Amino acid sequence: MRLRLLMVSGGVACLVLGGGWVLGGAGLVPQRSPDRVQAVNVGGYSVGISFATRQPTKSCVVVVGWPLTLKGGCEKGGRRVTHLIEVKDLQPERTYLALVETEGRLAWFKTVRVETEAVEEQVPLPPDPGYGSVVDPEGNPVVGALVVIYPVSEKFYYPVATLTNIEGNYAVDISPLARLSDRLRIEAVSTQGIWADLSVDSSVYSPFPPITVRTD
Amino acid sequence: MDFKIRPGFFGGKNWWVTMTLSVILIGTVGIAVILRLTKFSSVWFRQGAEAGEMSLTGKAIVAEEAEVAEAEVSYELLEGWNLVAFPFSPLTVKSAALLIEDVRQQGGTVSAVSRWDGDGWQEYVERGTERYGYDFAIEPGKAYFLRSHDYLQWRVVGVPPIKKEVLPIELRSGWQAIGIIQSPLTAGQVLSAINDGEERAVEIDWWRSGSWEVFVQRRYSVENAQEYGTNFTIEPTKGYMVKAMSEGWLRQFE
Repeated sequence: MRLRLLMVSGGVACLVLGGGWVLGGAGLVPQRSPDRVQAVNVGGYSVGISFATRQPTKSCVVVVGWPLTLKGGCEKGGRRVTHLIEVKDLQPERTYLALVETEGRLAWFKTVRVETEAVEEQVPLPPDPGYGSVVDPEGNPVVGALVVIYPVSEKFYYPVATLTNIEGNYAVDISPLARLSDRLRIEAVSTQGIWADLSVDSSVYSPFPPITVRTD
Repeated sequence: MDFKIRPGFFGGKNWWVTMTLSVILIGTVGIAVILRLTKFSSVWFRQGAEAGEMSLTGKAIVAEEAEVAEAEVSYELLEGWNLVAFPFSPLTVKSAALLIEDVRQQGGTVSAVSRWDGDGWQEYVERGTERYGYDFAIEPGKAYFLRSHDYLQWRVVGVPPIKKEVLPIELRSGWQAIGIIQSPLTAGQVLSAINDGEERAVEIDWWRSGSWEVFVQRRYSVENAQEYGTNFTIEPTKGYMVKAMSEGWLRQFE
């Protein structure tokens, strides 16, 4: 029997019995608790929630808003470490609280607040694909890596995110970001939950330089 | 071998052969006549390929009643972004990856296909042998941005829809990227059809090689309805961005 810490997102901790924690460089790290939970791909009618877990899990997102709105979605397929769940049918310019839970256990949940965008008055910009690849130190493609792209800006703006395809490549529309900043920061998390990032000029001709992440 | 012409066309040993050949002949002619008489509503169009202007040519066919095996539509892809739609179920370009391959086989280069997901563009990109993003299906009634690197007269083969089976396009609040099969229509007629006396959709735009051609229809009161911009002609091979204020439907051929 092992001791297990139950930690909620506010940082309050208490002792309980069970498993699911691992001693890492940063101390006790939850294996199945969602980590780096953030709102991505935020539009007027949909939001994405991205996060990672140290062990493969099956996860769900529930979005709560006022006037009372309850939307949600669960991942399809098998358990995974990198997660991106989209929730649709929301309303523009509303504040929602997204609750992420893994393995059906509320003990492993985190919340994130998200405000949906206003519907653009002007017709949307044409697409501006930003694309590249995620590789391991040997240069092998990393399939299913989570890629998150931020504008390097003083003003906060929701990032865009996607998962790499079967060839370890990603493609997202960066047109909303490119107009906010000349520089973009691209983060990638491998299927082992290890992060790496790089900065590029938004005017850099795609494909962006490969991001190398450790997978051990 | 000894052939004898017997009195009476239908008489004798060769009667069954003659009948069989006659049935085949009559059947062939009959099928040809039926196909000829099948009613189509078809529109030919061609817009001048001025410098820097996206231009498409094509024939959009919608079968009135009978099913038509296939039809061909032609697009003039210009270098840069082209917003296109497919007025039928494409046979040769069922997905973004197949579209890129089909353009390649016809001597052109499309590196990116983008579709509108209601809030933003979803990308599928190919550069050389590398594929970026996730492939997605190409469907009639939706609009797609294609990043072409050459001028190309691109032909697409598809199965035309039967008029009465053309599904209405559901419009949700916000921006939509749609393709419109019915023709001839103007931008104003499309908005009026959606609005049906209310103000559900206010704007429809098409991509004119680097900028949007905008048409706005506002209904400030029962007596005061205004239109802004050029009331352009809708073309079934072009894609359009429509801004809806509330949910509605675009019903075609009604």
